[in-house]
Amino acid sequence: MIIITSSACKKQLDSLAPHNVNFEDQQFASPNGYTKATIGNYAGLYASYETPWFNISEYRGNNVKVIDVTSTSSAADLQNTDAFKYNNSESKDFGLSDAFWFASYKALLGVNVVLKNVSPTETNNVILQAKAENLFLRAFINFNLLRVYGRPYYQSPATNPGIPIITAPLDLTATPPARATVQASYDQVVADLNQSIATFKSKGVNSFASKYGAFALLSRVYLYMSGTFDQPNANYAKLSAQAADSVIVNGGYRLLQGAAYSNYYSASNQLNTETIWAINHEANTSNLPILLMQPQGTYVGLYTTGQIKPSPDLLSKLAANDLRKGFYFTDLYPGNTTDVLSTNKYSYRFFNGVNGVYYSYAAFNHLRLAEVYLNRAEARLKSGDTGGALADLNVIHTRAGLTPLVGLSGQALFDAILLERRLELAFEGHNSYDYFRNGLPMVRNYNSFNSPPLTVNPTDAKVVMRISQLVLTENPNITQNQQ
Amino acid sequence: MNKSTFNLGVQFNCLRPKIFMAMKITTFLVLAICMQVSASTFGQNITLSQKNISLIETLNKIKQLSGYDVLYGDDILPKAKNVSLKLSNVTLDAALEEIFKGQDLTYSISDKTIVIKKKDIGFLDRLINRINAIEISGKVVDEKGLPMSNVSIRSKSGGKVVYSDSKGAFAINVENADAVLVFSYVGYATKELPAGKNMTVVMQPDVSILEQVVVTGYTQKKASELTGSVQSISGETLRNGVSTVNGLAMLKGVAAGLYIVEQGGSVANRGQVVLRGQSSFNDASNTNYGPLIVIDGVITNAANLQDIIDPQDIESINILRDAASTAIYGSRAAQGVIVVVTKRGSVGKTKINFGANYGKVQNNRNIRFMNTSEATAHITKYMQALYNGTASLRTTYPTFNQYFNATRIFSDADQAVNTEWDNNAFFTDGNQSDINLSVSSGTDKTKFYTALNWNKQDGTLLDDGLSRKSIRVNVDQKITDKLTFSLNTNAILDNYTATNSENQYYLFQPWVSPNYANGALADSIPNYTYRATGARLTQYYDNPLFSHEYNTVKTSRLNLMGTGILKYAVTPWLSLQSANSINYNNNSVNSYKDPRTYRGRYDGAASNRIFVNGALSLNDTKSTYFLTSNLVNFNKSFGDHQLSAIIGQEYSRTHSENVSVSAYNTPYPGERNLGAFLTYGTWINKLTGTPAIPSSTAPVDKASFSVFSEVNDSYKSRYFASASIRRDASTNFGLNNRNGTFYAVSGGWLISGEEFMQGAKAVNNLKLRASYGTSGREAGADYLNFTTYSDAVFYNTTTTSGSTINRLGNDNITWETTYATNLGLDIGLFKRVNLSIDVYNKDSKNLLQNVALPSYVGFSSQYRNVGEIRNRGIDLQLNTENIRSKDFSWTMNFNISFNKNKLVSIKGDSLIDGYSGSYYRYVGDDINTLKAIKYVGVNPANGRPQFERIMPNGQVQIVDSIALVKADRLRGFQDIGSATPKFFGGWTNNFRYKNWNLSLLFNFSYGNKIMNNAVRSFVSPTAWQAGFNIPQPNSAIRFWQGPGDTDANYPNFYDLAFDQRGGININSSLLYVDASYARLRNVRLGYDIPAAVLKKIHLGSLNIYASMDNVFVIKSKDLFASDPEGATIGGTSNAYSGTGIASGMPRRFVVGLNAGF
Repeated sequence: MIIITSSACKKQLDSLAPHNVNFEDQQFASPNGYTKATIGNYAGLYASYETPWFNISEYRGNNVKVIDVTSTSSAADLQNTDAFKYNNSESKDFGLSDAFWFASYKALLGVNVVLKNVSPTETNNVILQAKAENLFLRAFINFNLLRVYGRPYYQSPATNPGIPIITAPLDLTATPPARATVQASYDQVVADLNQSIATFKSKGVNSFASKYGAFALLSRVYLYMSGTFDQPNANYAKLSAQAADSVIVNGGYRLLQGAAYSNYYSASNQLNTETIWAINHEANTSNLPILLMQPQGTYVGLYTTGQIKPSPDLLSKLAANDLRKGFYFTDLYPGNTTDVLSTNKYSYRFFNGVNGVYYSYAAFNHLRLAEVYLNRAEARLKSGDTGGALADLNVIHTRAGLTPLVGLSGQALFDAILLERRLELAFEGHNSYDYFRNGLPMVRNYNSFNSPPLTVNPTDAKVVMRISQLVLTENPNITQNQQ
Repeated sequence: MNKSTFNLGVQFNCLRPKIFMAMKITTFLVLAICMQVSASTFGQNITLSQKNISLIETLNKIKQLSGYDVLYGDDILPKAKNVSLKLSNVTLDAALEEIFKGQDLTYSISDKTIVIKKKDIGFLDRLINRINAIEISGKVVDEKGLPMSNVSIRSKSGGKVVYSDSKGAFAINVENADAVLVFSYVGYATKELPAGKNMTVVMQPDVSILEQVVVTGYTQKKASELTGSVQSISGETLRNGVSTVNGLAMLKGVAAGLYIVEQGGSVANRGQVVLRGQSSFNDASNTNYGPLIVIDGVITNAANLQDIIDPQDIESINILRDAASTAIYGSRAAQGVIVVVTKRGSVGKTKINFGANYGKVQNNRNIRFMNTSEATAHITKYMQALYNGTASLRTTYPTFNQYFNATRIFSDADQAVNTEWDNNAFFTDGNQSDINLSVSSGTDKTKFYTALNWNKQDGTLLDDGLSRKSIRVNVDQKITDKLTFSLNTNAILDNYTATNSENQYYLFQPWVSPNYANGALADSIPNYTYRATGARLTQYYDNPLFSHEYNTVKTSRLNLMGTGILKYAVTPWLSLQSANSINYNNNSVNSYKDPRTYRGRYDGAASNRIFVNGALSLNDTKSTYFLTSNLVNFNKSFGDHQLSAIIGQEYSRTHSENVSVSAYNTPYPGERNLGAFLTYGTWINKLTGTPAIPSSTAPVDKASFSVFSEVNDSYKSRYFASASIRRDASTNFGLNNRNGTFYAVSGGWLISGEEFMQGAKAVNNLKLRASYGTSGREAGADYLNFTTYSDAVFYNTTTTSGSTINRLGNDNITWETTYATNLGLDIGLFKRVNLSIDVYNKDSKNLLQNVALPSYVGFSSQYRNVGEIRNRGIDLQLNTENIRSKDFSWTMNFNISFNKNKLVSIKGDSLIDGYSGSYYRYVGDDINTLKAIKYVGVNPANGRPQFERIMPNGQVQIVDSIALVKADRLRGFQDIGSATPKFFGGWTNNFRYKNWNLSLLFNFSYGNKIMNNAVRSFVSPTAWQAGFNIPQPNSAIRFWQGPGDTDANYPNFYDLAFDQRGGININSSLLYVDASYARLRNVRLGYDIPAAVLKKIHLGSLNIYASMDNVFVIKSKDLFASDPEGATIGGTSNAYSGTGIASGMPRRFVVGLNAGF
């Protein structure tokens, strides 16, 4: 009797299911399911990805200065300053490398599950558009991993380790993937971008990936492959310039000018004609103001945010009449009389949350036309087109309200392009990579909280982050970046 | 020699212990089965001559002469007639014939043993007895001289049972004047007395406790038969302690092995309990580390006693601590089981009990905030130091006075005001009252118990209160001789009130008056913060004294539980039982802010108030739970074996759902319903312009199916064995691992029942127990085995939803299993001292830990069964009756529990501390180990803190800033103790003098460290700059006063680098202090109105009493907190802070009465 009731009850148990969820096959039963899963993949690049990405990318440069270690939690302090001090912790708790790596591969899983469900013979345009967008996202995610963990392309790309390339969902029974070389990793990124370019069916607002977004990213990827100023790879430089051409000529984007430019960061990204692709935050607050801003508030002393201020070095490079000075505002930190400015690049619909924690609805601008011009300027210079390079540089330079640069060439022009990049793209995740990929040291000529001035050479082991110890434990095929 | 109380079956004694020792057990066994054997085959010759010698002595001689053993029932021989005889060389048979001539006894011989028993009374004799019957009457009273009703009285030789009435009177017919009457009553020692005229029988509570019936859930056993570690606590004991509706709080200091923590004085605080050490990891989805709660045999879903049972209805609570007792509960019993038995009706006259009490609840904090003169003196002194130490200030303001007057945050006029905000506005006193009425009665066929309870109790936080109404009806109906039906129903309606006014008490500065200049109560209060560049900055906060009457959170909690039990006795030894239970729970939260108050009009940050014009937030959760539990019960004796067994099957199903919605902007102040509000959402929606989304968490469905069995054998009432097995299937687990099997084996040996112990008169009980077995812990997270997508994110616009993978399935997830070994020893001495010692080892394996998956899988984390924790410890209980006399008695209960906890296995070999995030716990550490940078005192010369810095070569440097040690990361952290106490326990003393009763309950905890959150968060020299008042340091905090100060334990408070040096940084060991304490938990004085008076006022009994809770506490002098009540352990945040600066354990003064009709 017990056996009979037992099997009856097994059916009872099996018939129960969690509520308000879809199983994988239900999700991909209609084209709309692909679209929704793709939308979910953009959301995978919200705070859990964005915060470590921003921290690792910006804190390793010389546009930032840490003014305080104020958190009540040691772990948060160590996480926030780990990249800044080039400690490159491999602990899962004491740096953001672990968080960034896992967030990247989590985002990648979402992408790969969608791609897995697209038949090679698919003809539905909605599904193909989802395929294209996910290919773009895969390239984006992999390329950022490469920027953090792979040594600069000009340094032995055929032997230096890049990233594990995962193009389909893996389960626990799979052979743990090893790191491909830097070269193979770049090849995968380029291949994904090219395939996505060929697959796009429509263009939505700039919160979503598009054909010209893929070209814009391709121009950046080729630029990273284009060698140093002294030893350029003209071939990749030309490819970078070509991809940039596509965007500039055919993309339909326009640089904002004057007052519109000054208001760039205090408006939504969607109608912005300069933004090519941004992670939109209309529906989800951005945590970045917690790192960047310290409005005079109530909770001074106990709850402090905004430990990252623009560095004096960066501010000193901005000419008096540079429109970009407007991207910094007075932001008093009580008791601090020297570092009173904060960036307002993430203050669109900024608000003071509960208990003195600050949020905004600011988009993260991953690709915008100004960068594409500067990509092309650098690529043209590296491929020998000095005139074209200077012209592109002046497009950005004069847009900032400055007088055109004249007569520059060679190293001086290269330095001017890099400086323009630094000023134009500050706090957008480019600063340190732009030095190292060009074989240049990252130099901080200022004291910063408890760190003295610092120079990191491009050949320094610390240029790349350590991979989390947890990753190494779980996957014996992964080699660590030695330091 | 008299040890009848230990025996269950046929009672046999032997002539002499040493003779009995010679007897083999096998012999005895055979004997017991074939008692009647012909004696004719025995031919020994006996020669014996004697006059008027007792039968015992006579038989002793026969034993020596024949070599035969003699076996007899213990109550037979002393009353036998003396023997005179003269025998010469006769057979044993003939000799016995002669000896037993005229005796009321008969004998038989079997396997060289003479067995003696009473003669069967023939029919005629019975008839004669009946005719000769005489009536005996008398009265039964308890140890206090109060009449006892419902005492059962019977003649020892058989016949009808009668019961005493409400005045204790009884009348019974007995066969003759020599009859012996047996008086018995549960919880009292059974008394046998010769019948007499107008007897007055005084019953004594049963100190031996061995006969007490202990309900272990599916089965019940006598205490003497227990093989596991079980503590039984009577409801009366609980109710004689603290005055609360929280059963768990009542167990504190009384129950061994249960570490119970209550934080603060809110009535909503249900307390946290850990049985025999923390045996699970932190798990966001299941924060219940407490035991499984079983009520009247029904497994509940309740996480705490307060929500499921009213203490007035508790007959007894039985705490099952080891696998022998818990394995039968399978996958949910690894944290122990609390079995609650509710009161039931009994046969006899209707009993009515009425109880009422009323009292005061008093806040009882050991610390307070600074008053105006203390605060302004501190600020002035700090500003002086700041001015002296800051060049830019000296440039801006040429003199200190200029600086002081330009920037200070209090005016001259302010200094005349002194408001004690903390104790007057936030930690207020309150009242409590309790009225309960119960009626119970019973006939042979129907028994019922009904009770009503109405309790009102305030906490010691502003507006914190509970109003409880509870009803219980328990009915037992005998339908036929074989079929009984029981119905247990219980409804509890709790209404909690709490404030949602401003609760940041540190923002209220003492120089700010709660009133306007005209004396009216202000609706908002200014707060002043410091600006070095000029005048103070003013921001406004809600005045709680004004708004608390309007702004409250009301939580209404309805718990309905009904259980129907049908029991069918197929044969006297076989019965079937089906229990079906439904539990409905509705938790409804109504949080309202009135537009007439400042906080109701404005919400949001102080620097950016948003006009909302009243706000309401509703949250409604309801859950239903159904359980069917079907048992086959078997109970039969086979010779000396008393065998009992159960086979059972259970199916349970739970469904819960929730909805919440918020609204603001009301034209109808005072209306707290959704319809009165005009706009959905909260101030955040207004601020950010986002639409409001009513939320509803996904409904949860769970089901489990179980089969189980238990077999118990009691052999000769001395040797006990028990085995149980349970197999559970649950939806909580992976498809591949759906079934878990749990088992236990255990045994007990009642050594004092052995013959060789009969000489040891002092030892009335000696018993060894041993058990081994498994039990499980079900993780709370459901359906971990499915990969699912959910539409839970929005992107690009606030209405464009996207799907994300919300769970990656793990088909292999399974139960956490605890393997527990328990060894127990019970000792009873002089019938006055009872000691129980239990030693245990618990290995908890397959602990669920939310661990990262390999990154290539792509999902960040997943619950996996990886960890292992070991708990070892000792639970000791000692009950003594120190003085027992007619007018005065003194009894004592003492319990102490030791526990040691160790991490045996963890994913990645270490766990980061979840709260400070600054150090790891490794395999081998206690799971609540605390580590910090060692603070080694103040440098007397300069007032700086000194820390130990451990260099890579192991040498120790002393440095004066914590940052220098922190830079070394993990190397600087040293073990400084644990949040787990080394031992804890309680001590109860009961004194009775005539009609007076005094009881004292102490509880204590030793060896746990606590993070001094009160200091870390609030005792900052610069807090005033942010507008915060700080707690006034007492002798626990002695800041350095000047060069040469060697008494100081805290660094210079006026060092401008105080915070940077980090004396009170979260990583400084200065913050971690001893939380050991001993508390007088309750003192209670009662008086029983004498019977003579009761008679006049027509009452059965009347007790009046005064009781006081949390009278005083002895604690470490270094502890600076409102109460030493320790850290909750095992919480998800690992927040082992204690009660901090908030309310302490409330002191309650209650006077009341209990009357019986």
